[in-house]
Amino acid sequence: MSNDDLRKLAECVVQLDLRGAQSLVDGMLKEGIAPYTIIAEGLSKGMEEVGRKYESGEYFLSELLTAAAVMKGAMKSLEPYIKYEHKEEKGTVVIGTVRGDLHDVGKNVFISLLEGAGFDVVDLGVDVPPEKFVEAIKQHRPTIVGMSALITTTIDEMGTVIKSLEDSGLRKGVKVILGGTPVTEEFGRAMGADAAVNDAMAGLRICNRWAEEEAGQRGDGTT
Amino acid sequence: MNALSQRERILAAIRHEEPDRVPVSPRVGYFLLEYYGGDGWEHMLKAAEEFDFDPIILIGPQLPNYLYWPPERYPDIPGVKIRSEFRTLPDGTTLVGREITTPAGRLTDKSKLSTGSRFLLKAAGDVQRLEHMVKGPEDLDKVRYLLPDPSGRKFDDIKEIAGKVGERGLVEVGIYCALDHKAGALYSPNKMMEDYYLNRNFIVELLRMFHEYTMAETEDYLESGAEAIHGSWYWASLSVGWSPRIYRDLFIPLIREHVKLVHDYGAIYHLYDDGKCMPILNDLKDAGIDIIDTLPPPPMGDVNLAEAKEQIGDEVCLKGHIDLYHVIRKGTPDLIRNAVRDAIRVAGPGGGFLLGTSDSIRAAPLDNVRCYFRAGREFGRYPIN
Repeated sequence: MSNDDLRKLAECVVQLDLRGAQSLVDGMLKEGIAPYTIIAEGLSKGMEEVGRKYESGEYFLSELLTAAAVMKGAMKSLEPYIKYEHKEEKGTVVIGTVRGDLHDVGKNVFISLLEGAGFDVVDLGVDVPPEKFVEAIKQHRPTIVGMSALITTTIDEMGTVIKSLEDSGLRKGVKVILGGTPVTEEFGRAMGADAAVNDAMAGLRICNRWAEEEAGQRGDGTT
Repeated sequence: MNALSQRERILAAIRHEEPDRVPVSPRVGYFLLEYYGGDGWEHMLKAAEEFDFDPIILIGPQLPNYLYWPPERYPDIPGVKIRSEFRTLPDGTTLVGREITTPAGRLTDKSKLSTGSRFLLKAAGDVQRLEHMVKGPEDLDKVRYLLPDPSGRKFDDIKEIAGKVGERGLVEVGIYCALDHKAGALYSPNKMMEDYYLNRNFIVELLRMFHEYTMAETEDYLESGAEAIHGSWYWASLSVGWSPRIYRDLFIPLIREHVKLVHDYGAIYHLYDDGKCMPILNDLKDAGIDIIDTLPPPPMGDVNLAEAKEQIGDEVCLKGHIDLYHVIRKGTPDLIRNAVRDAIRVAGPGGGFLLGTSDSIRAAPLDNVRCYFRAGREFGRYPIN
């Protein structure tokens, strides 16, 4: 019965059905199903399918955002039961929209995906000057730094931030990923980034790969 | 063919006739500010003369707007009181808190204005909203008080400016759609996307409220003699994240009504969306728009100009397409010339094409800007090979 419910829960995420998801989660908790099973076998499976639909062009950002909202809504019931000592650790990502740019939709979607995948995220917000990126890296010791920009007049600012990281001696300690509609791989290389993407799912895949490499180097198997 | 005036050239292209050459009509507001220090219609004419292009001059919107105007410009609305507080933070940014009391209840919002922002509250889309004014359905009745009936106003300067511009260009009146700088400024577009699936009636009502205001506003401009309406729909763009399904369901019906009103007055409908649009081109054509602008190519957009011409070019005039960042700002003269030539060869034949750019030209090397205009004139001469 619980396998059936988990499949239905995944389908609720795919169908963007918040009420259905909440009701199933509440029912499974009453049945004594472990919260992590509900997350891993239900909600996350649904999000994976949403990601596939997004990449195939069937879903757009609107559906991705709504699926994240469904997942978040369902998680509210689970939070009191989650044992944080078992939380999957993938490292910290410091992220912000660069100076001069106040767009945050893409950044927020990326943050939802990162958090859902087990990363700790420090969101610096929008219109972030280079020195704030530098301060945040010193304070939070992330493994990944993400920069977002939507407008073509601000994307050069990403290069300025990378230069600041180099000048502060912080660049070698972090992976840098750039994101935004106008961003191309070629642009990323020219700016000195480790990766540049213009869709959130592709960004998540790269961050997951980096986290696996990092864990492999540590040999702690936390990912 | 004898050389046409700029106005004749633009209108012929919109009618899908081949003028003497493809009109070169990019948005240049920011460039005017950088180059001349002003972006009024007089500056546009000055630039058109200096750089030899075909200006589409955008005026308005002019109605009072509580939603994004700075407080000193708020009009008096009976029964409505506004209290604003501006606080400058150590990093140079400004926090703005507003409390609006209406007969239906109280509204609040908080915004952060970036360092050096030229907009203050004027362009809500470029201001970070820390707290949106509309929190939910319960706020809609209060917001209605901020949208005083605009009907019956006269805008004499529309005809006056058009008269002064004469044959030197086409004057359009800019109108923000229900979402742009209106509903989208009061309620997060991200939340709207979620609410489409989770609380659809509320979103439909929110958009409908602002759409009715937009329609009344548009009618005033048309009554005042506007011959072309520049309908701004860029917050509804697929690039913002709206899916084609939502676009067709929420926005196309509003666009269709807007276009019909404009056409009832014999005016031209110019739709502005500077993002991805390939999946909805046929829907926009069916809605009756006359011009679509800006048709950005990848990576900023998704437009294949040849396919766009094939799909809708028989009825809709295509405008824009040259990438502002990768071509105009960062490109070499060869890249600029090739991009302009290719666009003209694909979209120019048969008329129905206005050469433009993917966004308003700004922060570009002057030589590149000159190169763009020169290439437009050089390759745009009809017949196009």
